Parts: sequence; C-alpha cells; structure tokens
Amino acid sequence: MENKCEEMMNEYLMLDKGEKVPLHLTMHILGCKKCRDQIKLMKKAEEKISAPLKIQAPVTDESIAKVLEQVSPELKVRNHKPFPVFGWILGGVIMAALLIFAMNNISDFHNNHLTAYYAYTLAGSISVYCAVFVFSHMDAFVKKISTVLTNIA
Amino acid sequence: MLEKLEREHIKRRDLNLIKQTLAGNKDAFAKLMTYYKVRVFNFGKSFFHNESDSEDFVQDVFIKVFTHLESFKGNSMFSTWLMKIAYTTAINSVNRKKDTSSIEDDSIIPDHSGSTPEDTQIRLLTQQAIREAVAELPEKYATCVEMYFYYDIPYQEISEITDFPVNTIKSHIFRAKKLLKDKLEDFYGK
Repeated sequence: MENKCEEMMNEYLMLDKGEKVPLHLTMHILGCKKCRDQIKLMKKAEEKISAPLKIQAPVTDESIAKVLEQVSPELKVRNHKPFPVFGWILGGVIMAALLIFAMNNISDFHNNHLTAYYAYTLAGSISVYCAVFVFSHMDAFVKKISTVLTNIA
Repeated sequence: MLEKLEREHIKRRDLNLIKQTLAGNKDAFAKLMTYYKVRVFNFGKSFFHNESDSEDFVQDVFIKVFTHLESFKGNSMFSTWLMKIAYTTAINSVNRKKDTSSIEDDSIIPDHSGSTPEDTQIRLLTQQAIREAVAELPEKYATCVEMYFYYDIPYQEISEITDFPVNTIKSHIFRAKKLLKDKLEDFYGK
C-alpha cells in the first residue's frame, strides 16, 4: 500500500498546473485518506506561496505613473486616428458634379419646374450627405470641440 | 477546471485591455500594468537585490512591453509574453552587472493577504522547500523553480519564457515538490 501511495503521489507531483488528474489517480485519491490529505496540503501550499504576487498594484503607483508619462506621446499618436476625409470629399464632389451636370443638361431641354425639382434634389442630397458625414464622425467632432474648450479654459 | 476558467478569464481581460491600449487608451495600459507590476517588481528584485534598481527594471520592462505590444498576437497568455520580456531584460542586465541572487535569498515577497498562523507556517515550509531545492541548482534552473511556485507559471510557459526543455524544467520542479511534500508530511505528521 505504501509503495502504491508513493507511486501515485509521484505521479501527482509530476502534473502541471491545471493539468487533468488521470482517472486511476482520482480513484486512488478518493479511496486513500492519507494521499488526499497530502494533496490538499500541497495545493494549499502552492496557493499560499503564489498569492502575494497576485496582488494588484494601485493605479497611483509611482513606476506606473512614470511609464505612462514616457509612453503618453506615443499613445496620443495612436489615439489620434487620421480623419478619413479624402474619400468623403471625393464622394461629395463626384455626387455634386453629377447632380449639377444632370440639372444643367435637363434644364436645357425642359421647363423651369423641372429645374427647380433638380435643385431641390441637389440641396436634399447635399444635406443628407453632410448629416451622414457628421453623424458618422461624431466622436471626432466631440473630441475636437472638447480640446478647443480645454485650450480656451 | 476552475484554474482553466480563471486563466481564460484573465486571458480575455488582458486581450481587451491590450486592444484598448493599441487604440490609444492610456487608462487601459495603466490598468494592465496594475495587474502585473508586483510580480515584475519582485522578479526584478530577485535579480537586483535593491528596490531602486527593481523600480527601474519595472519601468524598463513596461516600456518594452508597450513598444512591442502590437507584436503580441494573443496565442499565449499575456503574462507569459510579459515574463519573457522581463526574463530577457533581467538576464541581459545581469550579464552586464554579474550580480544575481534568487528570490529566496532575500525573502523579499511580503505577504499582505492577512494570513492565519497556519497559512504562514505552510508558506514558510514551502519557502524552505524551494530554497533547498534550488540551492544545488544552477541559477538559470533556480529561476524556473521560482517561476513555477511564486509566479504560478505552468511548465510549458516556463519553457517558452526561458527556452529550456520542458522535461528539464519538470524534473527540477518535481524535486522541489517532493521536498515540499516531505516537509509538510513531517510537520503535520504522517
């Protein structure tokens, strides 16, 4: 029995953290109080010895503050994503050009009523375009405004 | 099972903080550092003996972590990746200074967890067992044993950090565990 326990304990001690305990070993542990107690103590010992290093440091920690100070310029660059305006400007110009081109061509052949209709369409399209642009970049606008306000203050 | 779940939770938490840091969130990086500062500091202290050098070491390591954060792919635990950086930085510094000691020599990890006398006793016995186990080992393997017990790092991850074979690490840790088992057995009676 002693040999069996020794063999089982050796097998247990070879196991890694979080490694699944083999079935035959589980069965032995269930039936052997001595091994069960030893394993309980081993587990407790491993928990206790690693516990002090799992403590969270305060955010106000001096080293953390110094690191943040050093990495801040880089973080600002990362935070300042380039405003993707080129695509929007190009899209807007193409859209306006097409509408103006269409309105001019049509007005050559049709009456003033139709020209007014196209003018409304043009105005409506540009308004919708601007609204979508502003709403999809709300984050950037808010940041810009708050930066300006901070600078003024 | 619980250990696995805990590790998975920590992995997700860290990945989330890394994503936020990469997006430019300063607070996320600060939070990430709070989780690992104590262990990096103590790891440094085991190499440099004093608090001042260990604080410098902490800053050095975290700046390296920040600089290379984009290269972290999330295949391993963030803690493994971080400890690899800490280990390489410490080894390089030590090679320059040629002055090392193991964590045990200074008994540097204070326990602020409000332990019971029994907990303290178990902790002392474990420290003794680790000290005896690493006493005859070359420094490089002593670090592996300490990583397992103090830093709660599994064999495979220790191997990833140190580049030593898993089986070598396993056998040294086995010896330490066996010593610990005998000490606990002697203390609590057979």
